[in-house]
Amino acid sequence: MVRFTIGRILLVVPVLLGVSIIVFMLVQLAPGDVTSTLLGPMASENAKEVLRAEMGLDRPLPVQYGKWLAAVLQGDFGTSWVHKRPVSEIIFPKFVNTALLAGSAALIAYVLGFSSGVFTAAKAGTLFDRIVTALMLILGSIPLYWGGLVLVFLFALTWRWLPATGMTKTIGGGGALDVLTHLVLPAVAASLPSAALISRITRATMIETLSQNYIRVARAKGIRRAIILRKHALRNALPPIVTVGGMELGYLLGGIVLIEVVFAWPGLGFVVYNAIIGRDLPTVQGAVLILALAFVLINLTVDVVNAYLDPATRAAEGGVDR
Amino acid sequence: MTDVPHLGRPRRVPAFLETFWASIVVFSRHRVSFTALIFLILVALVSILAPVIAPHDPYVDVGWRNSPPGEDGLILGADGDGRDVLSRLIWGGRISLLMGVVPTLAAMLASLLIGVVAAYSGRWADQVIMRVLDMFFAFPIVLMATVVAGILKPGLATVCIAIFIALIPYISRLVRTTTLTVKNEPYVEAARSAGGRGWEILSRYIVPNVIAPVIVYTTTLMGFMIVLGSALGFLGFGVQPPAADWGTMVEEGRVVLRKAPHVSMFPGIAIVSVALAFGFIGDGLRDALDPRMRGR
Amino acid sequence: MTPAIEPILRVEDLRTYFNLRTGVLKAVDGVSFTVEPGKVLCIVGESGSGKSVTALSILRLVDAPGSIEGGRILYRDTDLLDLSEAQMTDRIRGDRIAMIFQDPMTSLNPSFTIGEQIAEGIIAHQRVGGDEARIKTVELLRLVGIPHAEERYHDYPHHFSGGMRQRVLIAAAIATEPDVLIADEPTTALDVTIQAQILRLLADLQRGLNSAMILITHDLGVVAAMADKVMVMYAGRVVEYADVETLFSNPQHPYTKGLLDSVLGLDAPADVELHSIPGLPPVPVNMPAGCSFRPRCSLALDVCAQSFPELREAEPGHEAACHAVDAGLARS
Repeated sequence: MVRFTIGRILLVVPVLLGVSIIVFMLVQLAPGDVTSTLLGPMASENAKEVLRAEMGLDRPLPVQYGKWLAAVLQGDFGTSWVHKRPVSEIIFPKFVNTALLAGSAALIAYVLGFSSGVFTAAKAGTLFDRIVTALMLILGSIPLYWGGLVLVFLFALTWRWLPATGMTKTIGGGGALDVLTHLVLPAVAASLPSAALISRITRATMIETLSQNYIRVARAKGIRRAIILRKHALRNALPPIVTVGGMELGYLLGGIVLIEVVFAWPGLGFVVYNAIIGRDLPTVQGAVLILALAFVLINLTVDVVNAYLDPATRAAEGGVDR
Repeated sequence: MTDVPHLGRPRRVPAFLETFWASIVVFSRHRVSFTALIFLILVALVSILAPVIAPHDPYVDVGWRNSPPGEDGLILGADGDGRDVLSRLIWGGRISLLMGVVPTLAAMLASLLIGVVAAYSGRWADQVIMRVLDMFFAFPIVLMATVVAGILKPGLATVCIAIFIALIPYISRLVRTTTLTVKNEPYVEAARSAGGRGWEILSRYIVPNVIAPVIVYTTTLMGFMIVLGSALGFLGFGVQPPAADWGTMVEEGRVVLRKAPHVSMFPGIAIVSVALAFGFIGDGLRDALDPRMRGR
Repeated sequence: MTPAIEPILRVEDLRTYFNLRTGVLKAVDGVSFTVEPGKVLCIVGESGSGKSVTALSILRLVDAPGSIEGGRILYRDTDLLDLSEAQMTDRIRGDRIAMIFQDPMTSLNPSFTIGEQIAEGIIAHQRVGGDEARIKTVELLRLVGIPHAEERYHDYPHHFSGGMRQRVLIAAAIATEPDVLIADEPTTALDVTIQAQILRLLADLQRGLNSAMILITHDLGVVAAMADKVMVMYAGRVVEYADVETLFSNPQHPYTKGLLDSVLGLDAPADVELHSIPGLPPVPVNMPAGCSFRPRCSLALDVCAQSFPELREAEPGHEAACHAVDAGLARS
């Protein structure tokens, strides 16, 4: 098991290297000359040339990449072109906010998706099953940002139960209750498509598992249905659900840009959006790199957790086959 | 259960026609998928015929600002600039459908090439392709598309390129694994041992068997890509004003959400229903292209 | 057939139908039999003849679209069809009537140790704590011949071979000392060398517990070795029902004869031709009137196309359902 975990972690290193290459290259896609973005269109060719040399932009790309990577590895993500401050100072505090939002959304998605999936599977074919399944299908097709707007319209504008925007600081701001009220709408909005997908996967795997022979054997043994569902079925349905759950956490991380824009949530996604609009490329690079890193680490965790859940893999490592 | 009567039936029509027909029969029995297909065809027709069908010029104010549905003779009301929401919706459908369908199809073709090459060319080329794809998998698809679209110059082409790039790893991976499976099927081994040439085996046995699951996957993706394309429009990376796709329309309505929620709601509903329809068609296709579902 | 002992289970006119889109499949259509403590009833027939559905019906484990449409299943004096689902679960299944299934490879839950899977049945039915159940489980594992029972309690199913898994499943089935053991082709999925061991184990345990056993098989060798009584099924109906000696020495129904002819004894001359019954068994959906075996029967009469033959006594303690037998044509 330990060997599996270490092996899996080692596999991540080349992937992270690739990620850094892609992040670096993405920025090269930007049209126009960087120096005219920085100095304005009226700058002289001479001034541009000086700046280019200063920033190392006259060097070949691999050299630029090497320097950038070396700096990043020391925690130096460069200087924001817009705010004239180190990028790390801008993105690290925001990361906490994004983690809070993504974490809450994931929690809602798991609870909602998992419980509705299990219940619909247990009552497969009934009216209840059909209604919930149809509802989840529709939820799964709703664009994140539009779902967010619908929630804002209903809960913030029409009924005035919850604030839509106005979150500035999660730490050292208006206290836990303030954070919570601001968190509800974006977290729910971000969770809905994931909840829908997890619900569908859970239902499908539960139904599949419930049709297995060992379930019939358990019934023949006179084990109560509730126990069969809770113990025998759930335990075996779990690995695919965990896999999808992990993938959904990653998907949430991607969709978070949209949710943060709709709710003006002060997170990494909002930073990326504003940096893109302001052509602040070092900040885009830094924030995207952090998001991708988080995504890779989530996938790694999911793999390891799944390996622990499956006794066959566990055995292949340390167990003795007789 | 009773497959026996099919044995030995004389084939009067070419095999592929029969297969095709069988697929259509299975598909049309899927009532939901069939309805979804009709719905999508209607939406596509209305979009294509936008210049004829749209009651008003989508770029000119024809009513009071934010006038609700039904007033001023505008069925779906007017937006914040007094433009007809219905006409903008019809014109916007052109862009939204295009953003969902064209880059996805293009990505499918590119991925077929990449995936088959990876699976077929053996060790190192496969390794290189897979490792490069792995790097792209390290990005959530929405983030990838957002950043690519955001960095390039805003426009329809940008959104299409962003979706195209973001999709390739996913479809390629499917193509590769399916090709590897098909490659080792007994009927391919048989063709090979019967002296079939590499190219012949590839085009007659491998590609036709790989393409079915890829088409199903691509269809399901189209719905998702319409949602993603609209999101890029919503962020302002797509077509620029006064033109608008459905996502851009949602964004325009955001400013007047309290006074005129209909401006955001109708395009949203359009996105959801089209995305759902693609999903249903994908389900129907899955069954239709599965030989086990035929003759039931 | 005059049982000296009172039957423990009495199945009367059992009907289990499947409502399919293509029609009603009468998987079990009017089946009656009894089993007595300490005795073994073998149910014989080809796949699809309704053997397994009969077994599942006794435990009321037939899932939709199947349902029990009629008949009575009397355990002692209780009709199991009158019990609630909860009563079936708590008091009958795995308690008084236990079942062993065909495929040991998929019958154990891969995520739990085999000990847990045996113990859970004990805990469910015997109001004992975890420790007591564990001690009992280890004893059972020894009883079914699993070496190092103490340690193997904690092993997962994938550590076991097919034969060992079937031993585990047998241990789980006898854990509550059931009155009736149902074994649905318990050795079909196993190696030939293991089959005999498992059957001997089953026979020993059944005799030791003085349980009644219903053994489903298509292997006439197994029948000869294990059975007290034999019931031959064809397309959802009983076609012949007799003591094992009677059936082998004097088979009545043409189908039974065909089955016996298709097996050679060791003493058969080398040049004798192995018989097979021509044709395939029917799928009993929307069956026409008449005997379902008629298309494959060499003795078919006109009447066979018109009505299904009733099960009648051909001789005392020996019943067969065949018009030809009724007409006295089947003497061989």
